[in-house]
Amino acid sequence: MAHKYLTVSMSPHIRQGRTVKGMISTTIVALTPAMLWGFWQFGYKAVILVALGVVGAVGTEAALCVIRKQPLTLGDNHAVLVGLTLALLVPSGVPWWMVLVGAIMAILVGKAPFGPLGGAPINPALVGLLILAISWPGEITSYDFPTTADAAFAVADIGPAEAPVDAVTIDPSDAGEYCPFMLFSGLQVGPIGAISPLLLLLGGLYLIVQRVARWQGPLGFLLGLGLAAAIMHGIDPGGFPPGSFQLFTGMAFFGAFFLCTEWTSTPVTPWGLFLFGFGAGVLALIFRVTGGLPFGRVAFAIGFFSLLTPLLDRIPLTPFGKGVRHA
Amino acid sequence: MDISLSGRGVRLSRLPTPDTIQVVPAPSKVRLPLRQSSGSPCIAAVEKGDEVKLGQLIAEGPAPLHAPIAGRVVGLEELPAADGSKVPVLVIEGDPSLGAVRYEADGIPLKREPELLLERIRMAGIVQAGRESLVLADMIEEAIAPRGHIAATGAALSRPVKHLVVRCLDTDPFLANLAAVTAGLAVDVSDLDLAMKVLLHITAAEQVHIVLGKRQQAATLVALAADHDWQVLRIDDDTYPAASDELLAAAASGQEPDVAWRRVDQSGTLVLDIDVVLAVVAAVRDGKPVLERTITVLRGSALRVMRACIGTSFDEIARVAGHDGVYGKVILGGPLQGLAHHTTDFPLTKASPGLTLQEQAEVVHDRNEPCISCGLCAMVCPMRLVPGMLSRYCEYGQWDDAEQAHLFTCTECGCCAFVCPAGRSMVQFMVQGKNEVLARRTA
Repeated sequence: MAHKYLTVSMSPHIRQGRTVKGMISTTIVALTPAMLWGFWQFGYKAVILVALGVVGAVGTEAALCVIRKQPLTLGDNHAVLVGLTLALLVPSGVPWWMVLVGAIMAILVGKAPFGPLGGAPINPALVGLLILAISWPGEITSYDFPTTADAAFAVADIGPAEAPVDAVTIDPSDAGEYCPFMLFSGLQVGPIGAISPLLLLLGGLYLIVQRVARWQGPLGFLLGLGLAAAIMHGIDPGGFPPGSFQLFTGMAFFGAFFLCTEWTSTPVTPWGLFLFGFGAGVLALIFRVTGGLPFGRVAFAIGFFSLLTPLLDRIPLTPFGKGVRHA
Repeated sequence: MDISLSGRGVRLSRLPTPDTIQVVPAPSKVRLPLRQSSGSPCIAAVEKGDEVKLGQLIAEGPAPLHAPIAGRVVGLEELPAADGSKVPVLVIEGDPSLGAVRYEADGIPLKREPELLLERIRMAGIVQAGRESLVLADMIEEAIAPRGHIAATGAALSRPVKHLVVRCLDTDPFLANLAAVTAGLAVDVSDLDLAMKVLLHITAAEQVHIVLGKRQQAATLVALAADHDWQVLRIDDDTYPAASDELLAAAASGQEPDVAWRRVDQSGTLVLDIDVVLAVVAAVRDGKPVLERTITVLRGSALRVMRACIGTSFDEIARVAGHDGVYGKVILGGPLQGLAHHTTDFPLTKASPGLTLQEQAEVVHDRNEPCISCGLCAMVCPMRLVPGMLSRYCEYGQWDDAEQAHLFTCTECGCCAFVCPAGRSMVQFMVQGKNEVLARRTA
């Protein structure tokens, strides 16, 4: 082999084969069970809303790429994930155009201004959702009654009109009558993809096992929310619903496993991520018991803490060999 | 005691160790780079036209170089090394009729002074292969060097070597030199016994640790360890980099050594490869210098352990291993820490633990997409750093920030780059950052 120069590069010379696209696709797969449960509970309307969300996000990103004369960035499926996340977080009773507007805003305001993937300070889906919650507070709380939940809600003896998911709007004495197991298994009223903590937990654990998500965020969030709720309930059992109710309703599990694990908007360091989750959990509970927001309290809390991410990333680390002083 | 990586590092199945070490016949011509370790280069002690015997000293330096074949020095040429620099190379054409040097054997090495033994080790030119390729004599000297002197009396403040760690499996799971050498000890461990006695005589180490993989069979070695009250450390075969100097030192001493700016052997722990330990016996008992070394040849999942004279061309080693000359990438060392070279037309040195041959299709091209802060690198980093942030500091030239974020604690193991979903060339950034910081220091 006379003078054929070979490729030269820095070690390591092998890779695990992970790609950003793969990680996003895994997240979409992990969301699928909760999504299908939502479809089953809320019927064709939910399917249409999710489809609109995805189409809106993908279309917006494609249009922006064309307008800005940049190569298409749809290949990584991120727009699909944004649209899907947004649509799964709205109730099935909202007007169809709201999901479309939310998806467009998510990409237009939440993602595109911050450059390529990895730049957005807040999860773009949350940006879209919060815009909807602020702009149409009445429409965004249009909950439908799930198809198979009659038995479940017969226990609590409470109709759909009085059962919007956000905990505080329910009379706390009624909340005590909810069966935590039914809430956990997905027999409740709520946003399309967020009503089954069980399936969200399974999806989340799948992400953690696949090392697509890290456990510190979800653990911190559930601990923060649960502990704060337990303390409030302990102080005034009549005034505040128990911790299990706070954990199993609304977006709590979705937030823990699919929002507190989003990569760009959460801290990189393990302790930073735990504090992120814990703080967001406590703040979500504060919003729930004291806030005047009708919808998306978990989303607001997590979005707020995303803004603290650069600060939380500054928590000093103790790398190898730096913890112990040597003589 | 166990290695606590607590889920860090990456899982890579270790390839099975071959049963035999295949011997590459001595070539008719060898080329000997005068730089065979990270120490300063050797200075040739022979001239063009000189006749040299097998084992004759031909270059002096921190790790002296000896002729691996008898023959005639036909020239001193220059070859490009893997790091891009040019190294002077002695070329010897074989002539077996010139015979061999008679080595000065020593039947009672343990009766000698430690200083004399260390000198014999130095003269044998033993080098520990790997990323740093340190000279064994330097490592021992560093480890036993006094911390300082009492000003009034001039008496040395000693710094005893507390732990002597013998590594019996390679750090890189795709190399099998040490495992093959360890397997070769199944019948007779008397050499190792003597080598350890010599090393303990020199270093006065308090505790010996033998590092084996959990799957590794080494009954005689374990029995020997039990006889001498040595600790046997079993590490997970398939976790990379569980067998790195830093983690072994931490496991042996129960204390993490500070690896920024200094080497592990300065912390009272000496981590030695088993082949280096065995070379000590050859050096002090038989007076035999290092003339050959084991080298793992890896192509795809086909792994062979070979033994070849130093100075043998990698082309020749690959040919004996049954590989043709069409490759995409050639790596001196294992796929995780080895150095890519632009040609196979380069000779084996004492510092080359392996030869990895990749097909064109296997060659990794870093995509270097923007970091998405997924935190995987921080999850796997055995040094508990945040490589993603470090790589960005280095990418954007924030050298001071990088240094503050403990850039120099990075050991360039490559776990971060291995998992990075954005395909960022993490180690490249780290090395560049280190060089920039060092350049600024010396400027």
